[in-house]
Amino acid sequence: MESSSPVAAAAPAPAGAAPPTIVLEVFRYLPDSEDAPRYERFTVPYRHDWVVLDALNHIKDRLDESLAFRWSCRMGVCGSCGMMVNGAPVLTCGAFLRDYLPGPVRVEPLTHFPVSRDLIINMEDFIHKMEAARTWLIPKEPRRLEEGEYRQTPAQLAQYKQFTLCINCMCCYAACPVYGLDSTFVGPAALALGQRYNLDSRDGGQAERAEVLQSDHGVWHCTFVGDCSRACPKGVDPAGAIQMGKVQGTVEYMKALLLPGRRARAQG
Amino acid sequence: MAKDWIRPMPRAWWLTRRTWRVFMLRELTSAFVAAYAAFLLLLLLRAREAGDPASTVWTGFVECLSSPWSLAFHGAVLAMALLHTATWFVAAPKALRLFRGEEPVPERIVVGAHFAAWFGASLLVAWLVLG
Ligand code: FES
Repeated sequence: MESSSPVAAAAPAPAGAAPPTIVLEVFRYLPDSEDAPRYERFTVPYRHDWVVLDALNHIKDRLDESLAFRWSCRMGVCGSCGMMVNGAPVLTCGAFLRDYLPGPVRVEPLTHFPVSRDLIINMEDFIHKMEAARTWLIPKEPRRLEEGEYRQTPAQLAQYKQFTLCINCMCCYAACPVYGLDSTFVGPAALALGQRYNLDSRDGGQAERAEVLQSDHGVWHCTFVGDCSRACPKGVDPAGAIQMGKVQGTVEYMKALLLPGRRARAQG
Repeated sequence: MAKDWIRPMPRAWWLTRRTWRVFMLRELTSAFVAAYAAFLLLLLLRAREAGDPASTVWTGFVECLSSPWSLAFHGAVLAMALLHTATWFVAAPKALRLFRGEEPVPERIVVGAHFAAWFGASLLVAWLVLG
């Protein structure tokens, strides 16, 4: 089921020259009026400096105002514009049309998530995962305000800084086949952010987080496909964080096994 | 409340992306490594009889090893074991993030160290077996 484009189809562009227009095949799902999703073709002007998000905004402004999608910053910071472009999870505000010539460009909502409408996914599961992994600082020693700030050396900061760059865009979840096959998996971003706090010298929440991070649904569910790190637009490397979590979990397990004092504490 | 649309993954999901096909191949190499471990156990079992002049078990086994099937098996295992080793060594820096002060140790150094250790160990084994 494809509805025809409101604009005439683009003529094929001569090799080397920029085409005047480009076709977008957009995933449409309107649960209030239609039973199943379909793809709709839109022909939009081609501009060398346009990203996929610009094309979607052009559609919404000029061709079909009912098209629903999320975005905010248009500069790769807010993490709300993640979608599948030609089958790959990307930030549409950073995906230039010129990299998809001659088109058509297929735009779909992030895969592995339920679709609420058009390009909008239901991210409730992701929010729960972030809560479950306790992705916030749990201070090692509580301090009163007059005691001053928690101090940290640049070397201590370097241990986790890379993992702070996550913008919660969920591209890594769409890249991960493990999450796609079994959504009980905590998933790349939540595990990486849990690890981010575990690596923070000011944090004392490792044992608390281990309940989820070291569970069957946590790091041990990961089969190390590595696509999360390839898809991450911010270079966070969730796959690396997860493998480090496996190493740490193993070390803790061996310590509990071999050092009796620790076992009592771990069980207590 | 309108219903969310669920998109299940296709049964042959791993064929749909190149990186997933490479991943499956990497996982498959483990089966070959396991098969060779089983073969080595069998070899040990047979070797127990090598000293017994009345038994033909060992000589028969050695003869089997030179059959085309055995050569094909060993060739396939060698290729898969090399792939297994190389892919895991390349992946090693993910689990082993080292720092020199504030600076992360470059991944190629971690990978290079793995290959160097492998080469060294291979030389040692070659020296023990051939020397
Ligand atoms: S619109 Fe904010 S990251 Fe793309």
